[in-house]
Amino acid sequence: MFNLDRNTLIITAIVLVLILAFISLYFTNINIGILNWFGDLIYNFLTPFLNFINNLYSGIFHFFHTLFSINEVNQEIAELKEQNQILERQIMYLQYINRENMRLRELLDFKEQVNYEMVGADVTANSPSVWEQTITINKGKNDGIAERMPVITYNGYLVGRIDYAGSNSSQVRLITENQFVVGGIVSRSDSREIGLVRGSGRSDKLSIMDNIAWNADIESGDIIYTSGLSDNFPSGIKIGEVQSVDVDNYGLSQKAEVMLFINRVTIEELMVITNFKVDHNVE
Amino acid sequence: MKNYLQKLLFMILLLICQLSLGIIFPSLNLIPDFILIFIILNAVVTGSRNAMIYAFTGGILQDAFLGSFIGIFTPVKTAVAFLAGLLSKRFFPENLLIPPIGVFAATIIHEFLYLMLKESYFFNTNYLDLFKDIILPLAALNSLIAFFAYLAYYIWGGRNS
Repeated sequence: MFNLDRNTLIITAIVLVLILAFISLYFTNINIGILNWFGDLIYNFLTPFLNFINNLYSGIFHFFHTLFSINEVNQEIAELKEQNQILERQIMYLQYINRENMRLRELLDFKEQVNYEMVGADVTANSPSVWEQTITINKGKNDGIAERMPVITYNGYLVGRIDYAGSNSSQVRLITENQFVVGGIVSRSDSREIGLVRGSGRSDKLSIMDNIAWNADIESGDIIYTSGLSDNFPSGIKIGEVQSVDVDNYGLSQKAEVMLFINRVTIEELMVITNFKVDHNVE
Repeated sequence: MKNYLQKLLFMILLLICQLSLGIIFPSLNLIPDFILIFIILNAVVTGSRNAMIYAFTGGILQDAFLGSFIGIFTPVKTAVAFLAGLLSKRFFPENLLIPPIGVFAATIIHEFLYLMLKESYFFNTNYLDLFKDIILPLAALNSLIAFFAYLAYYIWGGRNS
């Protein structure tokens, strides 16, 4: 029925053998230096083009946006100036509160504080597959980025973590990925219940928070923050809002559906937390 | 060799378009797989042998953006290109519907193969939901683009010959 010539069959056989070899390497997680080097080479060769296209698009878009909305821009500047003055007053007030907080911590012998160091980055590319919840940012090893660093939005929502760091670009694995797990804690004055937030694999589906104690006080509308119980993420980063709570494991535990905050915003600019250390000896 | 390099550059361009599309249009839910469309059209027009080489290269390019030199895309795309190549020279070039139908079927096979090799999806996935919500619309989108791409190729090829 199908006329496959000899050359085609030979090439097919060679390609199939190569594919099987690579599949076995993929599933056995064997790292071969030369293959990693080739992967890095391709990635580092292509990402500058993506950065260039992103810069070009942003430049053109912002130029025309500014050109055609000059009145709105002027009005926004005036509003921002006003907001800036309010924020300056709030900063002064918060500095006062912070000093008081430090003094009370000292009095109560409450010795733990988290300090962040962050790097800002722009999103330059999406995932190459609908099944992979990743994005590419324009900061890499040269900017101090390393694998497993947490990534947040400018409004403080948890986005994910660095999955792969190239020279000038990095891959961020989003919390919507179906194997992504992060410890969450309910942020209510009368409830500090903990659980594990798992991505659903799709941005249009709610995530699940499970492993919640059967008698835990958790309800719809509760805000979930990172618990900071593991070393992977600092505590206090906003994850999402509880939509519904249900029993799990035949009543032995509870699970909640969580609407992730990153699904409410367009992810364009991000912050990578390059260093977060839990300081146990704050003086 | 020159032909191969030209197509390699074209595939790089397609990949950059594919990766940038979601950034330029953030409200898009599905991003077409331009490399898959290119490979399948190539397989349908020129046969399995060339298409498998391009599929292998295209798969490597896509896998590089998932942090590995050879991941799942490389074997899946090569296998799908081989299957699509079986359609080659078995239909009249005037029949503009065969290539889009080939892309439609190839997208479904490609996505199912990908899911089966992806361990995080293999055991805890409702395949029917994914088929209805993602795979079918993606296959329709890819085949629509393939129709216009093949039409352009057919008109352009007709003028040149």
